[in-house]
Amino acid sequence: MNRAELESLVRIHQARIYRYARYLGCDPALAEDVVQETFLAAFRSGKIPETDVAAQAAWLRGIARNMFLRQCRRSRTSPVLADSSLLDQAESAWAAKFLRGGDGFDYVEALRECLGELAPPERLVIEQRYAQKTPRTEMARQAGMTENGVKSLLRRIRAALADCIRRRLKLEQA
Amino acid sequence: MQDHDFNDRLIHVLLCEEIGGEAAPDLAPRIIARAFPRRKAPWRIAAAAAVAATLALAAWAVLHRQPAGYPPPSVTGSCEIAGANEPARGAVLKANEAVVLSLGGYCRVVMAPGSVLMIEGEPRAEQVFLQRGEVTCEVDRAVGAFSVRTEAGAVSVTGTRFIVRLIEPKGDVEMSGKQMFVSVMVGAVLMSGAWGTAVLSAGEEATLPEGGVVTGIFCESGKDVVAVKVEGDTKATLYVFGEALAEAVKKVQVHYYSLVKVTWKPDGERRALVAIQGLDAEKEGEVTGKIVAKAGGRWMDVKPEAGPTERYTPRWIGGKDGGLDKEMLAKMAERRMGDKVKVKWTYDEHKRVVELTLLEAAGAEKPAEGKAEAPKEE
Repeated sequence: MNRAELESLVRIHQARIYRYARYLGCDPALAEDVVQETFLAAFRSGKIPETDVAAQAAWLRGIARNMFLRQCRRSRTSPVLADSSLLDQAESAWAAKFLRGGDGFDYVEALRECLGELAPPERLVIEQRYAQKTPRTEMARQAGMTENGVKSLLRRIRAALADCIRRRLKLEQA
Repeated sequence: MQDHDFNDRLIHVLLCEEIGGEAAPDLAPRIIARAFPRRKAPWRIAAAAAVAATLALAAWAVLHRQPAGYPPPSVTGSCEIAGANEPARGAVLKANEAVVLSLGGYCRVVMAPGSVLMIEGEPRAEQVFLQRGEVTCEVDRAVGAFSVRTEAGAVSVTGTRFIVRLIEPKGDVEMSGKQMFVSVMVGAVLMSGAWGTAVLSAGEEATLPEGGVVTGIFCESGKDVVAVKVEGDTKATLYVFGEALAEAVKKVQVHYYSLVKVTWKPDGERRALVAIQGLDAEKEGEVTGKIVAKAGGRWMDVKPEAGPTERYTPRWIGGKDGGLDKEMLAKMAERRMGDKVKVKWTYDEHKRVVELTLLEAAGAEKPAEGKAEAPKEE
C-alpha cells in the first residue's frame, strides 16, 4: 500500500473507527491511540480488502477491537467491555442497530430528529450533561436529586431516544 | 451485558459527538508520518550537524507558531513582557494595571494589577502559569480546554468563569507554602495538585491545599510558633500554635534536629498546628558514628553514617548525691572529637548514654570543649 492509498483509507474510515473505539469504552485519548494503531496494523499487514467500504470497515473494526484489548492489557485498565465475548456482543449490536446495512448515517440523522422532539426539561438535562459537560454531582445538586437519580434520568432519556430512532427507521423502511 | 446496555452506550457516544463537540480528530497526518518515517541518509547526518544552530533558532519560532487561522495571544492594557517581544507562548507578563489576555479567541484572562503569569499551553489547550496575583478567567464553551497552573495546583475547565488568586507566603521564613484561592461564577472547574483533586461549581469558592501532614526536622520553637524543615525544602516552615498545643510542643522539644510529624490546617495565610508528634520517641536504641561536638562529659553530638546528628547525655541518677551518671560523665569526657563510637542509649526526655564503646580513636584532633553551649543542669 502506498502513501496515497493509506491516506485515502484513513480519511474514509477514521471517524467510524474513532466512534467505534469510543463505543467499546475508550476515552477520547485512548480512542485516538486505538485509531492510530489500527491503521498502522492494517498498513503493515499489507492485505486490505479491496471489496467495498463496508467490508473494509468491518475488517478495520476487527483490528480496532484487538488494539483496544491490547491497550487495556498494557495500561492494566479493565473497562466493562475488556472481555472478548462481550466485545463480540458489542460488535453484533453495532452491526444490527447502528449500521443496519448502511454506514450509520440514517441512525445519526434519526437521532438529530429525535433530539428535536424531546420535551424541554429532558432537552435541558441533555444539554447540561453533554453540551455544558456539567458533572452529575452538580446536576444532582441543582435538581435536588441524588447522583444515581441523575444517572437513571439520563439513561431513561437515552432509552427514549433509542426508541424514537428505532420507530423512525422502521417508518422509513415501511 | 444486555442489549439495551449497548444501545445506551451507542446513544451516549453519538450524543458526545453531536452535542458535546467530541467528533473524531483528524489523525491522518500522524498515521502517515508513522507509516512513512523520513529516513536519514549518511549525508543528512552530516548536514544535520551543520544546521543544528539554525534548527535551534527554528525551534523557538515553532514554539511560538500558531496553526493557520488560529489567533495568537493578544493583550489589552499596560504590561511588561519578559522572554519575548510580544505576548507569545513562553512569555512572562507582568500587569501594570488590569490587563486582558486573550488566548485562542475563546479564553479571556483578566490579570489584576501586579499579577505575573507565563503563557503556556498549545492551540485549543490554552494554559497560563500564574506566578503571582489574581486572574479572572472566562472560557467559551466547547471550543477548547483551558487551565490555570500555580505552584499550589491547577484549575482546569472547558467553559466557565472563575477567579484564581495565588496566596503568597509571608515573613523571612516560609510561612505557609503557597495556596490558591478559587471562586467559580459560572459552570464548574476541576482543581488538581499534589494534594489531590476537587470539583468546584458555580457559587462555590475554596482555598487549597486545605492542610496536610508533613514529617520533618524540628528546628526551633518560640512562644507560639515552631519551625519544621521538611527534607528537600530550603527553608523551615513555621506553624503557629495556641495554648492548647503548648504541652505537646514541649514534649517533642527534646532537642533540636529531632524528627517530628506535623498536622496542620490553614489559618488565613498562615499554617496552624493541629498536632505534633515526636518520631524519635523510641525507648532505647544503638547508634554508631563520629563525635562531632561535645561539652566535657555532659553531652556529645554523634553523627551516624546515615541520618541526622543527635545529642546524647549521661543518665540522671536520683538520690542524695543525685546528678548525672558520674561514671558516664568521666567516660564521655575521655572521648575526643572525631572518635568513632558505639552508643547504647535509653530515652528519658533526652537520649541518655548507658554504654559507650570506642571503635576507632581520632588522630591528634583536639576536642572543641566548652565552645558549644552546654545544656542546663537538670
